[in-house]
Amino acid sequence: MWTNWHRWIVAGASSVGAGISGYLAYTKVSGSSLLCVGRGCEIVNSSPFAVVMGVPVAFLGLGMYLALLCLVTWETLLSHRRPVGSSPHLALHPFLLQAAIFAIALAGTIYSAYLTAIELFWLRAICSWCVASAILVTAIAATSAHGVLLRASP
Amino acid sequence: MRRTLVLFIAGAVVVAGGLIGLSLYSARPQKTEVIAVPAQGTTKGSPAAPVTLMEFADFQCPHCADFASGTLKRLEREYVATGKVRVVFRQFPVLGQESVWAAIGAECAARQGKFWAFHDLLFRVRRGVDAGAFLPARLLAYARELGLDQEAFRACLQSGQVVEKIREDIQEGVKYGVEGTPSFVIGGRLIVGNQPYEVFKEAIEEALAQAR
Repeated sequence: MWTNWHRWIVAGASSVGAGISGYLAYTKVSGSSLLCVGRGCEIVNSSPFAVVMGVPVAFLGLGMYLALLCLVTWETLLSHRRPVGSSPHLALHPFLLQAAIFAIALAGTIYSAYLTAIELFWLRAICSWCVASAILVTAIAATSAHGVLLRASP
Repeated sequence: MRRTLVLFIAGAVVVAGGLIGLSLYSARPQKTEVIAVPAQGTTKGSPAAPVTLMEFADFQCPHCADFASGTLKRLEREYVATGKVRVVFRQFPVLGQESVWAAIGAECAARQGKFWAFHDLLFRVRRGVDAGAFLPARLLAYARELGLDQEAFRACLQSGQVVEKIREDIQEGVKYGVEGTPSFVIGGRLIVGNQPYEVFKEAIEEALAQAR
């Protein structure tokens, strides 16, 4: 069962994540220098792993966070419009959205773990923005999992 | 509800796995156009070639990158592969601190016989001036990507043993009147900038005629 706390955490983390991804996407497109703790950001952001099939990873991140923001807004509106459980059919909608948020954040967490491993073991450089984003998406996955798993458990 | 959740989790794992696969695929070393010409150190072409094209370049310079991916490839096909011209790359790092690092890295790669592969890679990954693409840690990653001896490359970067060679290149450029990059010397004639292919062709033909 999701509470307003779940929603605030997911919305807050998604907003901050969208800001970080948007900044990384902007520097990638404009070619301007990154503000960074240490010098790892430029190394990571200019590596071949920063682009997937021609699409900068920062854009994928931005898309993911914006999708999460849209979904959590939709879920919040839906949950507050009707009392959950008034009809089995209608009650399914918030759960589906919550599960979708969890699934997207889970995919983001797995991909972030892969990128962090690349930074540590291949590039040997750490991008502080990327680490911040990895922490945010993991927090979203954990928060959404908490609500979703509680509800799905028998 | 549990079934739906399992489906969502499976979907997430598949999507993440797919993205990781695509990432590894797109990050694989790119194939570059390989033209069969003999290369030694920072020189490409037959040592017996009658004409020498000397290029003075900076790895952070966008026009140098354009020359490397365009005109140089065409010259290699038409003049270097046919034994008429040999190309000599001279370091002229003037744009920033990372220009110097890139020049040092390229000379260290030359000591392992991989100058031209390193040259192509540096021009492919270059971005703004001193934007982090040619920091020592990044150069080490490029060396690893090209299969260079890591320890030897690291030692070369740290020792500064190639700095004197770079200084000599710059002095030679100054002697020819080079003030910016890219600049070229063909048969004693100075060509400034990434000029159209025809300009190089004319200068080479002229030098070939003189050599006959």
